[in-house]
Amino acid sequence: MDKHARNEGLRVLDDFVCEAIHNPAIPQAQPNKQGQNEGMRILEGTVQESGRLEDNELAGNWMASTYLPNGLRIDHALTLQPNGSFVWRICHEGQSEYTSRGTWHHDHQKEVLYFTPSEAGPIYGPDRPQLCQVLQINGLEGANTFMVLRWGALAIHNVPVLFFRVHPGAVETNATADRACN
Amino acid sequence: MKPVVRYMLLCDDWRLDPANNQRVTIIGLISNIHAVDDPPFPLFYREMCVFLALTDGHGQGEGKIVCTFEASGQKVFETHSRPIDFGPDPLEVLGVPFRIRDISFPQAGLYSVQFWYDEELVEERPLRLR
Repeated sequence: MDKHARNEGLRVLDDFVCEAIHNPAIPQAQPNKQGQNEGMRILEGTVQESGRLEDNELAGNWMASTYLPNGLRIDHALTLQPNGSFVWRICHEGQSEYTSRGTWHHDHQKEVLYFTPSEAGPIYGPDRPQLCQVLQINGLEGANTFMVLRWGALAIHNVPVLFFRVHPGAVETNATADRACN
Repeated sequence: MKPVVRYMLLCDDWRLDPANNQRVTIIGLISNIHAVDDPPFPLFYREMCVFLALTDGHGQGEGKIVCTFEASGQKVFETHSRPIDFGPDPLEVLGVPFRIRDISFPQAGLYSVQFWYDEELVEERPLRLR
């Protein structure tokens, strides 16, 4: 079911009405010498569909680190774009890098994230999305700064991965993910 | 500590939605004012509103509007100060309106409409008179 949003508005203080307090050194106008708001030239309005928008709760730039049993650190830089595209860059400490790009989708009912790569990789591909269970999305009041995912696979050492949000509010293209390992 | 100005709009009027007293409608954005009579100046402008949306505010302070003539820096008019109470949440966006009446603009040219908070200039907008 679609989720609708509403402009919440803002708290507005009472109107503050006052006469202008003029600099006595400047000449004063007579009330019959009126000025008029000119307005402005306005270009024709356009209405554009925003396309498929994923939920803003998860959209953004995320980073996480996981560790192999031998202590090797794996860094994850994940960018979830509101338009449904993602970039996931994985760096094995000082050894190798792998970048996956494609589209993502969040199934709210199952709390599952689907990552569908645009190109076939070693395991996942366009016809075989990677699944992650969203265990938690949380953080400080009013800001979802932590996300806990668990790989949707039967595997040992499949511990939940804690992602933290970086650059809050700024959803970049590929830049964050591409910078993360440099 | 200065608040952050999210919007500073010069306009003819502003209104609240009767169905939701937190939704603001801005009427008649002002960027240029032209004289109707001849000789044109000094020019009288009956009423102008300055609508500010402020955030990152802490505690209480006093805000006012000051208008200067750009070429000379001379102050043309100002308003009385109004108290602004930001409340406990610094992330809140607070609407702060000013309705300024009976304004005289002495000559054509570029003016700066400024928002001052606790005697500190926070934000300004150009206003052209011609």
